[in-house]
Amino acid sequence: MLFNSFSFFVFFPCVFFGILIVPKKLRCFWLFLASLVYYLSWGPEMIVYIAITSLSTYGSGLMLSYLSRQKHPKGQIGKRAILILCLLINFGILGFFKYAGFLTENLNQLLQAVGIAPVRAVAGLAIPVGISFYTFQTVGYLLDVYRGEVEPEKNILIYVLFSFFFPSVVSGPIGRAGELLPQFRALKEKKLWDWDRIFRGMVLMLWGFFLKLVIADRIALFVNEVFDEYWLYGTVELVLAAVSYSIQLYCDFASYSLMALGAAQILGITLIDNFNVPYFAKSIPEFWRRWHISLSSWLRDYIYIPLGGSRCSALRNRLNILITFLVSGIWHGANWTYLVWGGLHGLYQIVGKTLQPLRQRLYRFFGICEDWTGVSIFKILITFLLTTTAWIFFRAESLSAGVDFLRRIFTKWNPEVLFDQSWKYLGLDPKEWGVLATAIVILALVDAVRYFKNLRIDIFVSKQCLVIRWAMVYILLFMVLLYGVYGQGYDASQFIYFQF
Amino acid sequence: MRKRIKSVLKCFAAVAIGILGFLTLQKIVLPRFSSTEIVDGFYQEEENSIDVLFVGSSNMFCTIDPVTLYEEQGIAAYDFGSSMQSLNLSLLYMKEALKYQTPKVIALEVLTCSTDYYGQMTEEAMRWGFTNLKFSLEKCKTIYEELGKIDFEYLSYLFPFFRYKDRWKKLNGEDITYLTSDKINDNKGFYYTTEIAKTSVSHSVYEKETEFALAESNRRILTEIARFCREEGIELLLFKSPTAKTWTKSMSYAVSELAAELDVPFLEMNNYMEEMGIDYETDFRDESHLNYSGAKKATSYMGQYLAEHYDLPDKRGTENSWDTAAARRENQLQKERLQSCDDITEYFEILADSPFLYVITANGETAGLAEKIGGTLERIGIEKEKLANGGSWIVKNGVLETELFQPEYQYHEDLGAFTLTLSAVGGSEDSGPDITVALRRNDYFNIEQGIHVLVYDQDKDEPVDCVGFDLDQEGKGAR
Repeated sequence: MLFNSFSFFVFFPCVFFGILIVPKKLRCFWLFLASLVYYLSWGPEMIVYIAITSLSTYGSGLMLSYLSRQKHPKGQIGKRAILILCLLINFGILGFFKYAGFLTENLNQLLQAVGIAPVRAVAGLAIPVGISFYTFQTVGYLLDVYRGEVEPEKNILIYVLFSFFFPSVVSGPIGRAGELLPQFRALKEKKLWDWDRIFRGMVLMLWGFFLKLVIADRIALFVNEVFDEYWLYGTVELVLAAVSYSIQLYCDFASYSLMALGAAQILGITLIDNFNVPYFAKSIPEFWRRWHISLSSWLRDYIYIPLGGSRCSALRNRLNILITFLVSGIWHGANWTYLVWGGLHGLYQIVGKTLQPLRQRLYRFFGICEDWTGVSIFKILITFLLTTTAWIFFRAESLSAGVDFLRRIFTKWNPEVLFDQSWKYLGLDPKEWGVLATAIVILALVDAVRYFKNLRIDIFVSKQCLVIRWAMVYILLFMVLLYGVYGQGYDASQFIYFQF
Repeated sequence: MRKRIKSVLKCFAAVAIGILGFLTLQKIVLPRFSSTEIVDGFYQEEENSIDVLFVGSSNMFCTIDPVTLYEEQGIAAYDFGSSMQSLNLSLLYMKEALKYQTPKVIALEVLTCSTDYYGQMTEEAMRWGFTNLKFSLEKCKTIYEELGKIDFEYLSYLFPFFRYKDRWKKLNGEDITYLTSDKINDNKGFYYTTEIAKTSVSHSVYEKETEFALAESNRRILTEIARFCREEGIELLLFKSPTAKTWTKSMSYAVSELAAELDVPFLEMNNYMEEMGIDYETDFRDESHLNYSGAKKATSYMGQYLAEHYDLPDKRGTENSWDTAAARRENQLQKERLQSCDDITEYFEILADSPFLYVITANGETAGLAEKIGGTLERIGIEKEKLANGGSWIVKNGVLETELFQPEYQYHEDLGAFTLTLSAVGGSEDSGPDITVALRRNDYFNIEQGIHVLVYDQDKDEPVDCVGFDLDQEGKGAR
């Protein structure tokens, strides 16, 4: 049941009106039922794996808490054993579904090279929906309990709801136990009919639909046309496609997060904000503080810092960065392209850190102030260029395709295309480009308001007077209805991050 | 409390504006089918003005011409149907019609009895049938009967915006002007065309005896239709229009038997092709549909049948929309006569009787031509001698309104959607002035030698014809 599907438009209002009318004590149970229905809609067999993850982390959390109270040193050993066992179970399931095929395939290539018979390939298993997201969320809870940062949840209903709350189960944001569990506990006391909060939730969802249906799914028609047969095109089309893919990916993923945020907000739960104007970042580290915030903060807290973070030697710090980004890459999928993408981001940061003294010296030498607008714009453009280059590997079918794509950008120079306008007819027509350009300008304006005024669209809209507020809502709504890519002839389009 | 009421009212206003905006947008993006004008036109009819309602598929609205029926019998009728309409959709049309009209007779065309259409209508047939009908529970129910599910597709039949929203790329001025136009259907639902079938048409399919049994769904719905009409106190007439394809005698027998069971009359027009005078060479648009010529004959027959079997009022002589429709039909026929005529004498005779605005422009040697149309010119009020001197004459509703004489004149007039511009300027003694007749800015007609006529329909706000006659072509018109 996709957020942009007909069934969700029936399902969600039912959940919302249901939670308004059920007795307060049953609100969590109602959300649990809704989440169960939502998750079952993806395939009943998948519930088994999420149940194992949910129950194993729930039980382990309670046991860790029990052992923490034991003064005996064996308690600490037991704690560690339980943690490792639970991590093995959950990362085992995740690894089996996501990486077994990839590993056997690569192993077989290796075996073939040395003349040994291949092992049996693992294939044909459907990956449980949202496995990367819910595994990281529940493992995060377990690690927090282990460290004593979070009290274990005793109420199994609340915990299960935390582990597969329907707005975020499929594609995040990856919630933190410390933020989410108290909200579920307090739900029975919460005043749910709060028009201002509901209105802001609806605006978030609407903005999500705008990003997804008007921008991401339309620009995808051009991106797919070029990426799928990149060997037919030259520099102009390839650069345009790479930039377009950066926009597509941002709009696609941010749209899902916004819809999840909006849906949860309407139901009285605040989820972590997953994106904060990422393409306005002036450096790669800043980009990662603005892009997929729930994952990058998870990786920071549970991988980078435990590895030693920056409180270690310069060499070790750079290794920590590389490991963290390689994990980020492999988290996205079992493919060398994701590893290279993650590795590139790690390298960007390592090179950036290494060259920092030189940069400072150059600024001083030329008398350049880092705060100048021109310098900021230059930095933003360079960061965008670097992330876009890395996205090429993220989107490419294979590593060699990604390399070839980049090679063609530098070797197949075809500026004449800019004059014959043929690029305007690749997957889209000039009128569609017009709509797309308008929508991207609107996106840039909304992001600029967020960046300069620190006002997210829902807050910005709700601060306006009645007429402007509703005019904004209706302009967005009618643009989504008229220019959105949906309906007959289009399947409800999957979100890119669902595959992860 | 007052504050709460105020905020609730604001909320309602905001929602109402949204709904209104959506419905307007929906109207703009919808494509126009043949049934669009039929259904939109039906809703424009004065309430309780229709005495006979014809319902059914394209066979119905290509056969029965309510304007002819009115002219010959004074019967106020309307063709309310859509192409490839199934019987359950026909029943929906009847129910919808009865919300606004109280017909004495409903005549149902039964072509769709030839197939089991129930739940099997093609998408296009469903779009034609449902798109322009107003929202009602009956409509929801019939859509469900056809689709058998409630999903996005179902929603797109209730709100066709979701099916046609991608037309935003093709929208043009006409989509907006149609929104604000009066939508009155001058043909009263009839599909007017003078096109003649390109392939030869015969009645051989009908004559064939084949195995046929009425589908259970058709039997059930026909029974329901008969019961519905009985309950509403309306006479139901089943009829089959003349066709050269699809329909056979066996089908006719089957419907006839059911009609007898239901105690409903059934008029099989295919049995009276000779009596109607249907000519297979000229009266069919294609194998399934009659053209205007055929429809006129079939309608005459239907008119006589209705007059003989039902007590229907003769509304001729009373002020009603069928009178206007008949006048507009006459205009239409005159337009066609003008457009197909290239003989100057005949052309001016038609022109003199027409209600159109026309501009006659003469230049150079016209004496010979003026001789040919002298009598007609006199009727209009133009002196033959003046014609020879060159100039322009504007005639409205048969009355000469403006005369402009050479050597120089300038004239502008707003005709609604167009601006008429006439000018005679410059030139030399040998060649005479440069004469221009223009509609809007871009449609210029430079007049050389001879008589030029521009005809404009002010009622419909559109040009009708533009023709030039000169002696070199012996008075034959050139367009």
